[in-house]
Amino acid sequence: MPRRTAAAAAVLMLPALLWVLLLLVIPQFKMLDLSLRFNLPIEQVGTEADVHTLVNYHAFVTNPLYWKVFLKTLYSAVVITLVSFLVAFPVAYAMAKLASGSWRRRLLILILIPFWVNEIVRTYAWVLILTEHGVLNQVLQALGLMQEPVSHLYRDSTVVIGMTYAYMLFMIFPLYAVLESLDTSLIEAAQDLGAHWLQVLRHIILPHAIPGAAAGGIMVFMLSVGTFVVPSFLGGKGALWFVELIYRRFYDALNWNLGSAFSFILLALSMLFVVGVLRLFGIAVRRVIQAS
Amino acid sequence: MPELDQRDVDVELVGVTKRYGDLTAVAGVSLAVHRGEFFSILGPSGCGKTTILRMIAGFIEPSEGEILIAGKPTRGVAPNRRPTSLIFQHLALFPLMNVYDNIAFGLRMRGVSEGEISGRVAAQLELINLSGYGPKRVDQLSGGERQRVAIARSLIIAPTVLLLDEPLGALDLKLREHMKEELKAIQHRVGTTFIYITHDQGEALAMSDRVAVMSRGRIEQIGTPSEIYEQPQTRFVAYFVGENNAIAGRTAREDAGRVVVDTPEGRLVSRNPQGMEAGRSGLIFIRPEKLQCTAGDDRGSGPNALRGTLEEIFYEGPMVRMRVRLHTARQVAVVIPNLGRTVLPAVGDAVVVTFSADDAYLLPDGGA
Repeated sequence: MPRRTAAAAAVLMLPALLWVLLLLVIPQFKMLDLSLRFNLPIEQVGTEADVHTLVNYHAFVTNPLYWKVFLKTLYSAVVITLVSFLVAFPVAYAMAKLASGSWRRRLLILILIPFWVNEIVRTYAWVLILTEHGVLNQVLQALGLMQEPVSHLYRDSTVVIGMTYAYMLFMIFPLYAVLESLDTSLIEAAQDLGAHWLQVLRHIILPHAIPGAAAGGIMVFMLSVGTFVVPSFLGGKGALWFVELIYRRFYDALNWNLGSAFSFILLALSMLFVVGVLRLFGIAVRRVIQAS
Repeated sequence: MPELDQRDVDVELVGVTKRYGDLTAVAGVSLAVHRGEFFSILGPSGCGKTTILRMIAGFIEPSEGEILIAGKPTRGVAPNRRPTSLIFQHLALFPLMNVYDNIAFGLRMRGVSEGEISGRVAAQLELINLSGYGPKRVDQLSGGERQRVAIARSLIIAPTVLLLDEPLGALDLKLREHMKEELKAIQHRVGTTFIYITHDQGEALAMSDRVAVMSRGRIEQIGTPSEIYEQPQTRFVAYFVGENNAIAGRTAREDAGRVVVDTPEGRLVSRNPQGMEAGRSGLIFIRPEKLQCTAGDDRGSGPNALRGTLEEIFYEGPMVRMRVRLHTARQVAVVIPNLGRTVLPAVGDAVVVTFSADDAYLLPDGGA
């Protein structure tokens, strides 16, 4: 690369690099450091009593409440990711392969409109739908399917529904992108060689869509394990999620050290989990990055 | 449509029409393709030939008419249930599969055992001279190799008819010439009926047993390559297939298959394939290679002689192309083989262009 182009590239990259360094890398190291120290009274911070320790990580392993909530969160995030894929795939396929040009634009706008509204507002909309005298119960009672109204809120399943909805776009768009790049003549060639639609789906469409599904899956999964809004609004006390545990360490217990340790455990284990799943399906990370 | 023994017909179209809204892509096409035949459909882009191919393959249903494959009606039969196989214009090899898996695909979809598949794929690879290429990725192949893999992938399911949608279009000239011979050789070896779509008359004439020339959704003429070239029945075929000189005139009299035509170039004699009567206007067609060109202005004693000036000479190696401006300012093209002993007239010389009445034919002015 000519030297001037390299210099120009460095200057253009600078804001982004500063952003990552100042707002991500440095705070993360500060948190890592915090997570490796005792939770001391403020006057002892910085004295010789303030030494490095693994006590916070030890607490996570030994206290069943902590790792059980963590496992449940992980499990729910997997369910959310799978449900997102099942819902998003037909939508993305219809948009990419079945809709004509003008319908495709209309569908894209229809899908985008709800997401112009803030995540908190959208989550409150679900509260209005699912609450005891909410829209869902009114409909069910009107149809005679339900006698006594019950609240659908504060359950794990409610959180799964809310999160699937909240992060649907992150699944639809990568899938839409890969499916749009699928040459329609490949589908026709497979049919022509004797494949019925299930075989076409299994041998042609799904293999082609894997990078997009993986890209969308990683985003939905990481957002689901890391979000706070949806579980606290829809889950409340009835459905405890790991991020709420972290929140409480910081703001209720004022134990920043334990909270930092939890944050790191969440980050490290969920990343490990993603890498493990990709390995399991033999998906090269390079292809996923290209698709997203 | 000619009477045909049904046992010998692999594909038959009866009054097939396809409309898209107000647009008629294919208008009442009837044709019969014989077993083992190399049949080409030749026409300019947009003439409906690809629509016909896709209707035979089953991707499009005709608006009207019937398509029979091996004697059986095909309406409502899905592409995966038809005994046809299509070679796509851009081949549509599966990019995520290697050569072996591409060729094996059709058999796997039919539930053939892997043991049998490996033998049959090896046989196909041998047929296309690509033995040992099985593990290669599709993007490691050259254009010609990809072509051959696509053919093997289609032939392995032993289709009644192989449909080819301009598969040589994307290749460079040398490779295209080579693939023409290769395709013909493969067809001889396997004996499958081929229906070949092209806009390239050279391909159609060189490879086909019979050619159907199409224009604007209709069949203009069906015949052997030499019938199409030597005896066009319509003006479209005369203009579209090969190069042609046309001279307009009015018929003076006709007798015994010959017709005498009064033209601005004088009185000319030609064949009269459509039996046109006296007093009608028509076009005399004569191929450039059927013309002779001699220096001087002696018209000689023959009936068909045109006087003019040699305007341009294009030396093309195996042949020499000349452009002659006649005294009516009309241009004619003349092509003579480069035999090495002919002394060519020089540019600007007065020349006489002559032709035999057997080589010229008259067609009506207003189309077919």
